[in-house]
Amino acid sequence: MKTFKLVRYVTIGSIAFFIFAIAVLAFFLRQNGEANLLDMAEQNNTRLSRLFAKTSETELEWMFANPTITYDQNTDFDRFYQQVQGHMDGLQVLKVKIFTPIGLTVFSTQVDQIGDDKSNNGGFVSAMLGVPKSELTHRDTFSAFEQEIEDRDVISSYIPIYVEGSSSPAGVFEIYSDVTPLLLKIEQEQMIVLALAAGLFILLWGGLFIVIQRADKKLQAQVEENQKSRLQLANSEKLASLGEMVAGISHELNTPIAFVQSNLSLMVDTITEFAESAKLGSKLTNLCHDSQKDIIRLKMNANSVRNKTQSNDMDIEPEELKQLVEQSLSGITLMSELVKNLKEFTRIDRTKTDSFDLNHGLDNVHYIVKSVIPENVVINKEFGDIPGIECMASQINQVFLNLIQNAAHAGATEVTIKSEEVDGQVCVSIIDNGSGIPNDVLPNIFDSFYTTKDREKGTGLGLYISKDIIESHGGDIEVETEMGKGTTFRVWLPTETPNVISTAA
Amino acid sequence: MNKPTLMFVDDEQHILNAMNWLFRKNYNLIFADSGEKAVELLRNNDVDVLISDQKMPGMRGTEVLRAARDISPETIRLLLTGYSDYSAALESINDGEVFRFIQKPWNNFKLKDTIEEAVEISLASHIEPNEVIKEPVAPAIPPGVLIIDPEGELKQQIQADLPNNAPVHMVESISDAILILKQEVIGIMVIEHSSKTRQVVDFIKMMKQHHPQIIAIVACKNEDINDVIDLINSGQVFRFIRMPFRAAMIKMAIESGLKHHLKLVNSPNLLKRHKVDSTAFDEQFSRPTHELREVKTGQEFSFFDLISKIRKLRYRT
Repeated sequence: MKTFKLVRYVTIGSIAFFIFAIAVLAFFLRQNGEANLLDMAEQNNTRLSRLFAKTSETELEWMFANPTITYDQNTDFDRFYQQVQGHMDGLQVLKVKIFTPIGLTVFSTQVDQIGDDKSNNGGFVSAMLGVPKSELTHRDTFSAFEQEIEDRDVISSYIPIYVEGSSSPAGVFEIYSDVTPLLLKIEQEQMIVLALAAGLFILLWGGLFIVIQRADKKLQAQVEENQKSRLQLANSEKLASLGEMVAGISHELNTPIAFVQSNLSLMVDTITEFAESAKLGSKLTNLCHDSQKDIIRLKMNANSVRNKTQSNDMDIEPEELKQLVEQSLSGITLMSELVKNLKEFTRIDRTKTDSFDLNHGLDNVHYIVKSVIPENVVINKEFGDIPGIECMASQINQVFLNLIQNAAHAGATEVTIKSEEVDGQVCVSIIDNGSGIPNDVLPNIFDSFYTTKDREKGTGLGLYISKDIIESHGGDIEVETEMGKGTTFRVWLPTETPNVISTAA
Repeated sequence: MNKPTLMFVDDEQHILNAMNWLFRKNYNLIFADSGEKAVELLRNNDVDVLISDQKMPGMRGTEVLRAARDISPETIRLLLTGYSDYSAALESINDGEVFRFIQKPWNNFKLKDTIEEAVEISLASHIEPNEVIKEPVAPAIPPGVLIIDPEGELKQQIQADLPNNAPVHMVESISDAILILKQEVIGIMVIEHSSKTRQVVDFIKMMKQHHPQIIAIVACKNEDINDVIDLINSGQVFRFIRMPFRAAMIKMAIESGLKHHLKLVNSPNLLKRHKVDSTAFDEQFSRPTHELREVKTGQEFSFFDLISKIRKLRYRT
């Protein structure tokens, strides 16, 4: 049986899950942080834009009215620039740009960008439709108000500007703000949250691991225990059926032993009683032989004979001694027949036989099973002409013994053993008139450890082992049953078997 | 010459032949090769002693004995078997009221002795056809029930479920039981027997030898076939009850035991039927070192003390 590697699976599974969960958490934290940052920056920038629009209304109007005027020609530009710079002071704003409704850059804190066309920029288009748009980007270098700065996270927001009385934007502000420190702070927070989460996970996993490990040990022990008890069960089944057989056979053996012993001790008594009479008789016989005369006259001391012998008051007449011996001999024949059958039945050599006379084997099983099952079960034999089969005879014997015993346990009073040849195969049927097998039991009968008998009476291995034996001989076993009428087990065996025969039994 | 009649039941012809040689000289013999045939023959013949095999096709030996008990109650019943199975032994006591349980292979001399003894008892207790069997007269003082319960387990099971007006004495040890037996009229003993209390077997054997009219009912936990056979052959135990049992069962056993006791007291001939096999007992008796240890009291006393105590008991009717 393959064991389930609990600890390994749980470890691999939970580490994979842990990595995935941390990744998902990190992703969502970053997304959320960035979205919040963008939102915040956009709000700030919008406020800033409105402030510009209010405070520098005239300059803006003038700029929008004369979009083509360049930086050089514009004397007020410096003043506006100063004004913007004043507003920006102390804020994280890096750059401010202003576009006309057609996308012309009319102002930029980076003066060389004035005059650029932004009409195709997505942010600008969105702003012109009334929706501010912000974007977080990382810049390796960035030209800010006064100096070139490096390695910055920048949020740029396109914000529409409205003048009083107009529903469409009069222009668009683009404000770049530096969020590097903010982003850093968010990242730090993320790291802390992730580290915390990771710590909790590891703690949880550690606890879980201990529990799992203990469970695994218990499971392992249980599996071992189970296997052990199953082995014990299988052994006890062997012992139980052996015990049943031994009990039956000792009774079978006891009967001839009893009468042979009785006859022989009766003989000993008789012979002892007759010893003197026999001596006398033999002496007389010899006298007759030794003498040449036709008639001899003897003088006997009758008193001495009387004293040495008894009158014939025995249980046994001398001529009956022969019968006693004959009866005893037939008892010994019975015993040796039993021993021969036992020897044949068990076939301790366990080797494969090339051409086993199955009918003879069934006779043998019949002889053995008689003493094991109740006396009132009648066993009929209907043996047909069958070819010899290649098999492990002791295993095949075991199968039929088991099937007949099962029939007797199912309350059968009549069991028929039938053998025949069908399509080159040998088919042996064990037909009983027992109680039959219920429908809910039938699918399980060949399963290991399935039994409907009491725990002491059956381990549920009999049919499982039988099926195994038959299948390892390249044969098949099938069952047909009707409740209340009886069951027929049919065993099909080929005349030649596959090379590999298991020694499961 | 009117020889006593024996009937042998065995499905093995050789056994019947052996019996024929052993017994034909002194007895009339009837043979049956099956239980069914035996029952039929019992109806038409006067049989003094019936000896049956246990394991036979069709009717089993214990079933033959039970049938014989009803058809021909005077016939003394013996079971002869090579297969000592515990439930068969119990059945033979409780249903067949068996006289002896003989195991195959037997010893010819012992078998002859046993059968001779059975025949003697059968003849001695024979009831003439015209003899009126008197209903036993209940004595003025009802005989008591003595419960010997060393482990205290019977107490719980029997409770107050005993027949009315029979005085009940509950003791924990055999020495206490002997005290009660000295003072009271006891008709029946119920004894708990487990492997730990080996001396129960000896006690019952001795009691039955000297006071066969006291009925013994044994409640047992362990299933030792040899104990059971011993208790049949040398203890003439009336009923053998496997523990745990239902209260109704012991009540029934005690009631029929009391009836049986009255019959025995009123008919001394019948008493002979309960003669015990003394040979097994005497073997033990001859062992001088044999000592009994009381389970409860821890008090030790010699086996001989016990015997003399039992012998001194006087049964008062």
